[in-house]
Amino acid sequence: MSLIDVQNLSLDIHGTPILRDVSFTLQAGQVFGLVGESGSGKSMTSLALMKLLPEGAQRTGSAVMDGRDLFALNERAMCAVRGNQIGMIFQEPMTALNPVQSIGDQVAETLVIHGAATRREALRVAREKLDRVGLDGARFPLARYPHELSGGQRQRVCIAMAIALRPRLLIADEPTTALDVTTQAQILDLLKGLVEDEGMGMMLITHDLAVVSGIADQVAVMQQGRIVEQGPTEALFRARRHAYTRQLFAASSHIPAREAMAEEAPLLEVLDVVRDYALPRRSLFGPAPSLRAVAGVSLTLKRGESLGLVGESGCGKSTLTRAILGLEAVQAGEIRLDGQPVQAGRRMPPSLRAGVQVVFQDPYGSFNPRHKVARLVAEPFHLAPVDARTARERVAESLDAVGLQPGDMDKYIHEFSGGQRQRIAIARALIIRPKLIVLDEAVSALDVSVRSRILDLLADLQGRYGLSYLFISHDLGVVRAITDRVLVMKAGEIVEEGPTQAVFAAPTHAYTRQLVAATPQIPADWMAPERA
Amino acid sequence: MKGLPLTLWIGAALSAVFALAALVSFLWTPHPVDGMMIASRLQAPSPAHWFGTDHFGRDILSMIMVGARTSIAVAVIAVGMGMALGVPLGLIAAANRGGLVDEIIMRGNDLVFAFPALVIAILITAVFGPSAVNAIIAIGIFNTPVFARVTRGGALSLWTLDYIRAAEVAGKGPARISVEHILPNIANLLIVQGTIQFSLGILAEAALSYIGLGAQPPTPSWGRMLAEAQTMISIAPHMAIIPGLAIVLTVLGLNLMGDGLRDVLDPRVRRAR
Repeated sequence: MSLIDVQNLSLDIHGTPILRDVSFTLQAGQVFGLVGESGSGKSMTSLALMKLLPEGAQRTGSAVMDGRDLFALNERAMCAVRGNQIGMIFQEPMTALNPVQSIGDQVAETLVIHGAATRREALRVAREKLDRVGLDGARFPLARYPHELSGGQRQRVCIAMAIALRPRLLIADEPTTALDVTTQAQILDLLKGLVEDEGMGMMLITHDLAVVSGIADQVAVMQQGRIVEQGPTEALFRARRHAYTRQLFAASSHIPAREAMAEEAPLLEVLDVVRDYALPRRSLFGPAPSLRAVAGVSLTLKRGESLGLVGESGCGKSTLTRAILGLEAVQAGEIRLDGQPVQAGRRMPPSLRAGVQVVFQDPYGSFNPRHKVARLVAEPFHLAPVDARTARERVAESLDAVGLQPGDMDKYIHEFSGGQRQRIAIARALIIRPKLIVLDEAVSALDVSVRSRILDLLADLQGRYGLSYLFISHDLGVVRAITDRVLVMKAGEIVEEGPTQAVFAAPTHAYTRQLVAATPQIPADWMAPERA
Repeated sequence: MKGLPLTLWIGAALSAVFALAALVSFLWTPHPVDGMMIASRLQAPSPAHWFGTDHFGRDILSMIMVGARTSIAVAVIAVGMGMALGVPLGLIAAANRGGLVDEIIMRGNDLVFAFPALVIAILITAVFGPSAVNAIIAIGIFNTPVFARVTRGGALSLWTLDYIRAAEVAGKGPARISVEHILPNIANLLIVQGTIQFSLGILAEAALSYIGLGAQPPTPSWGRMLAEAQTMISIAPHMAIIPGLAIVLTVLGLNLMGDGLRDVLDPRVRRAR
């Protein structure tokens, strides 16, 4: 008998159709993967099951669990189901925990609220659950607070909260998207183990096909509020019957066509750069302790080259990026662009600053919402002023180069989608004809199909304008697709460097091997084209 | 303009009534405010004198209208002064966040904050003599740290955003970024705070005038009207009730308008609605 049986779930919010005829069943002890791009309705499906829909939502259909239709329950009865029968894990572990409550109290709270245990008993269970998710009592006493834990550890606490009452269904909404690859691998292992040991059913919502391939028994592909295809994971992935599934697969393994055009002459040289941060003093006297974010890094980027810089959060890649952009002073070492020293602050001549521009990760935070596109894109002209007419012409040209309409320059940024915004960010970087563009996780926040088009665009622009790229990312797949050479950074140091293909095919450093092994991949033989 | 909160409408309407009264008083008042008519003193409200007359026979409606002018002028200039000083200080502090300049500015603000505003206002007017100008300066000084804090708080979160980083990469200095990118994006916070400080300014002006340290006779002022009514409260209660109501309604109107504006302009509240 199935654990939950959803039939013809349709949802409108303020008259806008969100979901259409979504039907699926979920078995106990199995993982059900729900895959799709942003806006496809994956998260809304899970919120509909929990009856946590926003105001103005109209829902039809049924979701039968234990012979009861969840949609027919009143709010009071539903409260008893949430947490008790259905547990939930969210994407962002940094904000999913209450910062002023200890982790023990937060896990115990679920039990106490549902009247399942006294506080004493609840704390004992909390200890047990935290042990189960890999946070042992010696290092993680119940009295710890969320800020003392890393992202991965917090996600473990969230999981402990979700499983405290042994729910029979666990909904995990992008549970590893905000985590580093090595942490992601551990959390996925943990979830898989929980499903096997406790016999619960898990609904895993993700945009990442590779994650699903490694963990889900059943998978459903969603597009624009409909499930376009569902079935056992391996069979579905091998067959790829629906056009949209094929499109997703093609996009996620897309490698843009580009030619190596690196010259021998170095464009950017980083020599033994060191950057320390002072930490808060522990005692009144004595020196303040410091954190070495970048510890003697050297690298060279050749003209026309695409260089990847890979590392997990906290490895110092952001600090290094800021130093290369001339936004942050370094304590030792030297950074040279085109042979001239890069310095933080005003001393850096505008012409040199104009040689390097940047594209950031978040397409939503990258633009001043109160300026029109023309002004946003023209911002780098501050370094090399031109008259208003030339500026408009160049903006039009730049927008055209990234595949937008020149007419878009009189719109505000909120009128554009995430992918379009990233194109505008590239137009802004491009407008002053820099030699080097630093791409700081520039495609990480984008859906796979948008991402593949942006990668194509970057490859195309590189050929047309003779650009060099410094591609900073935690996503090995992306770095692999677009770079010639790659550097692997760990704890402020470069631990491995070499041609991208060679490094990923045969990593020499233990850390690189660990990274490569932790990266989820769709088994290669699933990807073989089916015989017609 | 559908969808604006009701509080905004009520607040704006109340504030508009008093602003209009103040403007009209420049051109016309029902009766002259500087002429004494002892014969018609202490009259209760009537068709000839809508709000009655005071102990000198002056028309209270006319005095309320001219008094609104004083209150609004003092509050506007004091808020303007607070903004003119506080906003740049807040921007400078945010641009130097964590640095020595930030510390000096913000600790200086704390120092001003630590003194009870009205007591210092009394001190200033006691030293330099009571006048509307000195009241303005006193109220303005105490508006400064409020605006500095609001500005710094709003600016700090903006400084972490990528578009500020992009402006830095475009070679723009902190002063230019503050004016071009930070200020327009915290304008909504400042407008809301300005409305609330405005109502506090009207209250402070009334309080100073009440104890005789604000606008001097014969300039009508709501606070002094209240003070003068004090001894007559049993024989002519309208003399106290009318200016009292004027102060309450204006402050209420401005506060409602501030709350309403916050609902409309502050994206955090807007999302929660």
